[in-house]
Amino acid sequence: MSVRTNAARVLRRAGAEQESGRATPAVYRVGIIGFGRIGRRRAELVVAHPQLALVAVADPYVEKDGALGPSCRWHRSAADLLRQDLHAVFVCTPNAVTAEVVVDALKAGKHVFAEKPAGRCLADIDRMREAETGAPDLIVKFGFNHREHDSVRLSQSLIASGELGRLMWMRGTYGKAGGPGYSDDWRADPEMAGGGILLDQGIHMLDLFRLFGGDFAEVKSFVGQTFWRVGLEDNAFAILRSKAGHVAMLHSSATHWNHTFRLEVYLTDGYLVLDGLLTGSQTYGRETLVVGRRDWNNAESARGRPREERYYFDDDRSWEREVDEFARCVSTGSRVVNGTSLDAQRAMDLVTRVYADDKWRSAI
Amino acid sequence: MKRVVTSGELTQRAMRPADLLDAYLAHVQADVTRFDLLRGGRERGCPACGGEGAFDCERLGFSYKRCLSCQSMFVSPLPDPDRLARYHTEGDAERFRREKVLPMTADVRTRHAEAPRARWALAAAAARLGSGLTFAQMGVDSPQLHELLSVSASVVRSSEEAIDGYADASADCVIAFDLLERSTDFSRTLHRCRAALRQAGLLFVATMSGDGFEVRMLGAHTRSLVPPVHLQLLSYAGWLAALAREDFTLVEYSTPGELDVQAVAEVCRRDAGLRLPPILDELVRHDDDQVGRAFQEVLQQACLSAHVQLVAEAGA
Repeated sequence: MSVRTNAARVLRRAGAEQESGRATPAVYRVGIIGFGRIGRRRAELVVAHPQLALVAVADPYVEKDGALGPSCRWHRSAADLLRQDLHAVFVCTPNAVTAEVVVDALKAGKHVFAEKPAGRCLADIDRMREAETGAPDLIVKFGFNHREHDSVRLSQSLIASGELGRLMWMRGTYGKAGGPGYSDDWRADPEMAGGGILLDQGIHMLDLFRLFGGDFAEVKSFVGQTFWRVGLEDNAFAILRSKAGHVAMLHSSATHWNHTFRLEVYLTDGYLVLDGLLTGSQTYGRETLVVGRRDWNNAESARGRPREERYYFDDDRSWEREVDEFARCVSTGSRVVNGTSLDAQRAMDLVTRVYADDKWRSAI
Repeated sequence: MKRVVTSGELTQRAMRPADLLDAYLAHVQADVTRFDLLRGGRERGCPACGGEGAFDCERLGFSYKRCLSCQSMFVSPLPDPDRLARYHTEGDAERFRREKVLPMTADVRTRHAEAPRARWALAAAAARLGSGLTFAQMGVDSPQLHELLSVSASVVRSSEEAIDGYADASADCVIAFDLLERSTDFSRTLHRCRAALRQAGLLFVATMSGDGFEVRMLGAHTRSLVPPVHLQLLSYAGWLAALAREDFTLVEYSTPGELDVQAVAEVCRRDAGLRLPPILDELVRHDDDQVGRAFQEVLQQACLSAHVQLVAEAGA
């Protein structure tokens, strides 16, 4: 989006505020739709944010949480919440509901932050993007928080600097064990989730492939159900190639008994290895980034043992940064950089093509 | 906050050749006498936190104290600044370092110190502040560092004395490598670095650590410890205190030094009478090189290696 478009958006919003007799607020009233684990985590960040005030929650299954105070109204449905006077909503619902809620929120004039994935299929994200087009003054952002991890940000900066040369290939593994309660979770319900581990978790890795390597023209894959008999894929192997010739390999797994996040990025003059990830579960290991350089003037390096620098990261500020960016965009009209609806659409498109290449029938 | 650990094939022999170091230290000793650095000094408290110090060790006639509060290490009495300035500008030790030590170790220093430091600063600055940045390179003049930084940033070079010229809060980043340990007025120098930075600008420091394994194991026997240069070696707690005083927030603290284990082993070999705690002695002198490397990596991970790299963000 151009600067001119941003400026126009700010002016339009200012005009609308003037017409309605309201000044640009110092604090934006926010509602959260879906108050499960993710919704609660977003609530903590909203409450702590100086520009946001949590004034409404909607969830049909969760009882009122008194800790949020009397000023926070509780609703049983998203429709009820959307009738409240709010500036923005966080949509933290199961995938099956996301598209409908996002579209309704935009029609109700609310800025929207929605969790990934953007629904269950391309048709869902297309509906949301259509509603976004019809509401040009509103901000829409999707929660691809991995982009905001320190290891990813530093990698992005190093790749962009060009000092490691030209991107050649990437190899990403993202896997979890599922665990004893896996088959009872809504994520294991084909109708609610729309896809298995690839759509739930692997989509983050696909998004990072795009962040570092741009879009991919070709996709080859093997997708299957190997352990969890829930009607969704629990392993997906994919090889992607861009028009420029970058190749990216993905293994997304729900049978990775040791939780693993590992992304290797090889460039013509060096490499990056992102290993471990600071997450809410704290089970993916310490977040590290190894930076190595090809140096054939050095004997050890030439023998395949280059000097490496390893960065350890102690804090996960990815969620906080996402909320910061959303609040900044809402208050200034600036464009979303990470997690645009186009990012969400392109990631969903890759998921769809991974399924399609192996003729895997996704749930939707 | 993040920590940087490096692994590589750097050796003590390549970075600090024993014969060169012996010759350099002989010049230092002679210059200490020539410029009468041990006379007329003034007692001082901890430059990091202002705490009281207790005697730690004596090196080349200088007394090092440990702060009872933050554990930083500092020379006290502090030599007379004018005499110290003459030591740096007229002395044979500094000339020998410039004309012999640095050229003869230039390749390994560039590969293992200057280039990694420059890349570290550039990458961290770009990740936090974006591109098109202005760096103020302060302190010890390093054309190589300047050249490395200049590839992707605007660099303003300055000696410590000229820092006042940049007290306009305009720099995105200040590079203070090998600067703060040698300042005769630590607080003032740190304040000048702060004054040069814009709000949310970044200070990059590379210096010797007061917590480092080498100096804590060897004390006065630490061959890399040169009192006229290393007037204060701050601990982690000391850095926190000093940075907070200038409204900096510490965002990264790393000790990526690669030579502690080798350096301690070398001193133990030279001085058969020197005894470390038995288990450390065994680790340091272990026959298997991999054990030494693994131990060095543990020191880096625990931020207990000899050299500190830190990034601090300037407050409002």
